Amino acid sequence: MKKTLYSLRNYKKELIFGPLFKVIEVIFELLIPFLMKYMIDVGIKSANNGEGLNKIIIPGVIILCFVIVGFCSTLVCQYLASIASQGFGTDLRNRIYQKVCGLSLDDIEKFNKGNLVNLITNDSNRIQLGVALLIRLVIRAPVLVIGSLICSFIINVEIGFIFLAIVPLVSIILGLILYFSGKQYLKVQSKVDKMTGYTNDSLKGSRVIRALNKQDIVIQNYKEYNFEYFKESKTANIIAAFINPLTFLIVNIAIILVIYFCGDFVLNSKLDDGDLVALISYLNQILMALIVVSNLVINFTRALSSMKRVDALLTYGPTIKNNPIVENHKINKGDELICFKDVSFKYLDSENNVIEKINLTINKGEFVGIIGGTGSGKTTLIKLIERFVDVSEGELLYKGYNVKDYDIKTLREDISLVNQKSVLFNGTIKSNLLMGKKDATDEEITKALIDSEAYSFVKEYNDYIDHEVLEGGKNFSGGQKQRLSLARSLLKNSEVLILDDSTSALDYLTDKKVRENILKRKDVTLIIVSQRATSLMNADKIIVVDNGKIDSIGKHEELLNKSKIYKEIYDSQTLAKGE
Amino acid sequence: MKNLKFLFKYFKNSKLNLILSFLCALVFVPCTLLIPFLTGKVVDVFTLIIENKITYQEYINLEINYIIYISLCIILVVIFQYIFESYVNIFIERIIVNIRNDLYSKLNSLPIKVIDSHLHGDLISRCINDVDNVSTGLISGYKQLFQGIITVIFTIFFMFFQNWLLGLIVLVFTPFGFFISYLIIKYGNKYFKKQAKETGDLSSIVLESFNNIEVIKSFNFEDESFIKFEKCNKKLYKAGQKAQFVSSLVNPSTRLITNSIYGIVGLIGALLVVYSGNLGYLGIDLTIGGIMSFLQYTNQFSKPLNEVSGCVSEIQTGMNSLKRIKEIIDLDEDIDNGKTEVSQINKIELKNICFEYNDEKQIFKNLNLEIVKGKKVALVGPTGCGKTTIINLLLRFYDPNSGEILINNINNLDIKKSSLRNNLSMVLQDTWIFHGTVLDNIKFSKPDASLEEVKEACKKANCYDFIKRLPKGFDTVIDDESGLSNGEKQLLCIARMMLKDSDILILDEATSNVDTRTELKISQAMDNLMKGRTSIVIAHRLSTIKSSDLIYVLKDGAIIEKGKHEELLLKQGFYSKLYYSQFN
Repeated sequence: MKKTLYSLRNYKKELIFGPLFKVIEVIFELLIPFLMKYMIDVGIKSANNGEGLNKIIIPGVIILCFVIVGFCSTLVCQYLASIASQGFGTDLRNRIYQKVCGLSLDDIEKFNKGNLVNLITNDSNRIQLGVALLIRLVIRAPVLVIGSLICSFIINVEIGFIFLAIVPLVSIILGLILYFSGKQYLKVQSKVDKMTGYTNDSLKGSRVIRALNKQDIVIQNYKEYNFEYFKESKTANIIAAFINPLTFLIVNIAIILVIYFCGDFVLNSKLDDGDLVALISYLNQILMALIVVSNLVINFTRALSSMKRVDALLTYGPTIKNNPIVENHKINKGDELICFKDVSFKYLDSENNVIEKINLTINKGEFVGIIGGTGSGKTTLIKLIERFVDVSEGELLYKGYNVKDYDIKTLREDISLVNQKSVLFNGTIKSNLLMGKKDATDEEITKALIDSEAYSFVKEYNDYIDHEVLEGGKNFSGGQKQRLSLARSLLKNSEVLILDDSTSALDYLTDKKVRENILKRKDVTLIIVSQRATSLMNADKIIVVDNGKIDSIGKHEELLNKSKIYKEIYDSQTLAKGE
Repeated sequence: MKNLKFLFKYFKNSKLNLILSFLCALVFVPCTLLIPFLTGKVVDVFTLIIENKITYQEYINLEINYIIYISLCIILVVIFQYIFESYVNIFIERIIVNIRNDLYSKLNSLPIKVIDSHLHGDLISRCINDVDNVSTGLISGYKQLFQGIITVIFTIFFMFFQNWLLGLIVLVFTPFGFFISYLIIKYGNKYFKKQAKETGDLSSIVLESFNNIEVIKSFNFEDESFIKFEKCNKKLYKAGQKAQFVSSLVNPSTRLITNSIYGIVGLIGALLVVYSGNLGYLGIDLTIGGIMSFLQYTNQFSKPLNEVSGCVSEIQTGMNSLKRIKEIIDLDEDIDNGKTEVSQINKIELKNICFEYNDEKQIFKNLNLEIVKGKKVALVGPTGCGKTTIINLLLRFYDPNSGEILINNINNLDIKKSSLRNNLSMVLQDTWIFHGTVLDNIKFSKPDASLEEVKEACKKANCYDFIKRLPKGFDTVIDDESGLSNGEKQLLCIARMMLKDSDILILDEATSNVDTRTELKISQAMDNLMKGRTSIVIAHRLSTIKSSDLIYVLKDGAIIEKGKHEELLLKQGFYSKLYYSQFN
């Protein structure tokens, strides 16, 4: 909880003065019955005795003044509450966003992206609402309850004890109900999460669902999830519905007790009947205050469960830590750039190594190909170099030092990666390309577009590089997206360029041209991960990966003789069937 | 108003629920009001005994009687309020469940074009969060409305019964409360709208960057993306803070009015008592006790007003969410005017097709294409030439701007979509795996398939071995995000289509994510499957389509070459250039 509420520290003033003004309002509210009693008891008697209307008019005017002052102090409180809670929510969202940006991919997978998005869009709002209600309404209740208690003791000590007895009783009952309904609401929430996931899945698969004519089935499934939700929420409602009647019951039992005991007191002249009216109205005030709070229960259980989720994220110690002790430095062409020494890697909570005891060296200026079957561990090698994940065993050296000793930012500045999944962001072509180099000129951009073979289609747009890119780049075809994300990485002009199967949607001709364009660049170290042997034939070094291990390393011709796996891949791609 | 009408539709079948909940409220609300009346009576009894107007025995009897009445009221309130609360909650939840189901069904009948052009995050949030907001608003609004109306009616009755002049004062001043609330809500609405918009913007930014976090990281773009987020978050703060403040004004404002009425009633009441001797002819005869109970009723009267205004922000949020839901419900559904059923496709013919997405770049200019039963047809061409678009057209995810697609010489617009799609199987470039077991995912295409059939299909698709190696085999729970490599996901999608086993297969780069050794095995299995069936293959790896009966070469939106592999090579045209480029 602490981590989440940490953001409140910026709103100390609001958090102190907001409730303070609320308390002022409550005090005025508690004083009004006293004045009213005075006006009626004393004022009317004195007017009847011919002493004028002063004792009626003056308290009346004071009451109206109190009402207005009370209103004004509420306004102040509401204003402060809106600043504090909205500001708190805003800070919290910022913090969550930054936290997520600092997590490793492995961590993010563990938290699940959908849940992380929800933390910002949903959970923060709920916590924010909780804070607002806390300032605006919840403070009122204890003050009103305590105030009424004090007033009851002022009127009569014995009756005061009845008051004192019901407050804990009501609190215990409320607490129990809150406990059980809170637990139940967590179950309800998990059903909602399930529906969210299912909706997400079916939106992604809308083409497949339609092609298979399975709309009815998914709708049926959804209805079942929805019904599960209904069942849980029904239980939650059945529990929560006890709140109002039970509080009402206890407070009214107290009223009966008060009446019963008061009878004797009145007979013994310890009380007059005006006091009785006042006592009952105070009891009703307590009831109202408690009901207001208990009606907010749902909001608070939601806020609480959201807070738990946010806290789990904020307190999470990222698995990848940034402790830079080595400065980036230049090395010469041909020097050792990347070196894997007995490197193994396995995912968190997993027992099997994805890659095992990998040893390989990549020198500056080389063109290196990595080839291997599905799930052979090719992409893991890249993730390790970029420090998206850290090695589980062994050592990974970059320019002679352990990658962990570099500033992560420097490392990623040095290495350009074009992903398997080509990703474009909402904006323009230009805004996407500028990710690679913030201050790139239009000429540089054009050059990158030409090198990535994207120029041919980009130049056809009237607005050229200012052409709009929709969310996820969905107004471009797969191949266009790949070429644009290539251009983005080329613009970065970094020492190492890694293409992770990022030309799979390109035809051979374009693929080849792109490769040639890149190799023309000076001193660049090019690492291509591919499933096409033909794309790698000219590489200085081809690394064949199989089942998480290195099968063999060598040039194309060597490998044809040396590696059975490589030969099989090559043959399957080049020879016509049956030959 | 239109939105409310939409909501009322869901109450149509709930007349009984409405009546029952109204009856419950009709029992417990008056009982709640009777309690202060009865306690007032007890006070009167005290006065009587002090003034020695009744004997002690009479006093005891009266007191016990009233206590029994009060207890009775309490019991009735407790029982009926409980029934009311739980009943209303549950029956509104049921309505909410229906709304959610309708929304989801709607999503499944929207044209693909609409789904492509909407942010998925936004659609999901409309289905889940907005429905949640409607439920919260509806439950509190509905409860307050019922209790409020009944309370108001009964207290007005009690008040006028006690003193008509004071009753009139309360009635005249109360509308001020409504008026002020109305003004505030109207003024605040613009901030609420703004808040909703900023929330939407923020969530699409989050979705976009979290989904592509690896790209952001590899470009060291964390700070920039945070700045973008922060900017939007700041806008949300400005709108949200105002919206919150304005909506939190409503309740204090109505309290200002009701508290003032309380003071005025007390003041005028006191004056009336003083002058009541002179006003007897107006029918006003007020005692001190009379003012006391009248003041209590004034409080009772203002209670529902305060409570309704207390849930104003919930109702307001609910109304806004209702609007967002209605927007989805109002979207046009996928048009399916076709009536003809096809049981077998013998010929597919594309005639003079022109097509473009969103009036932008033209994808096809007068495209002509023919696919005959039993043949393996391949489509090749440079990137972006529109190969994938053909799938969109064939499966009628999109319809051409001009030209026609003939299926067995029938225009495909006249064929029922479901019937058309039943004859086609497709494997797309983007794999689709949903959260569920491996078995669920494969069986999706044929829910009644036996385990044997599934195993058979998996063996053919070469994924049986890796499935067996998964922790729980076919029962392993998987989803799109984790667990499987792209290639494995692709294999599962192929197995899914293997199981469907329909006349025509459409493979769009279906094996681009599978390593070539596996691909070879798959294509052998595919070859077996394709025997005697029509297949349309879209591939960049020319080696996989050499055995095609007919190859169409697409470029710039039209077919530039067609023929068998060897014929095309002999032509020395674009195809041969493409083909030889893979050997350098």
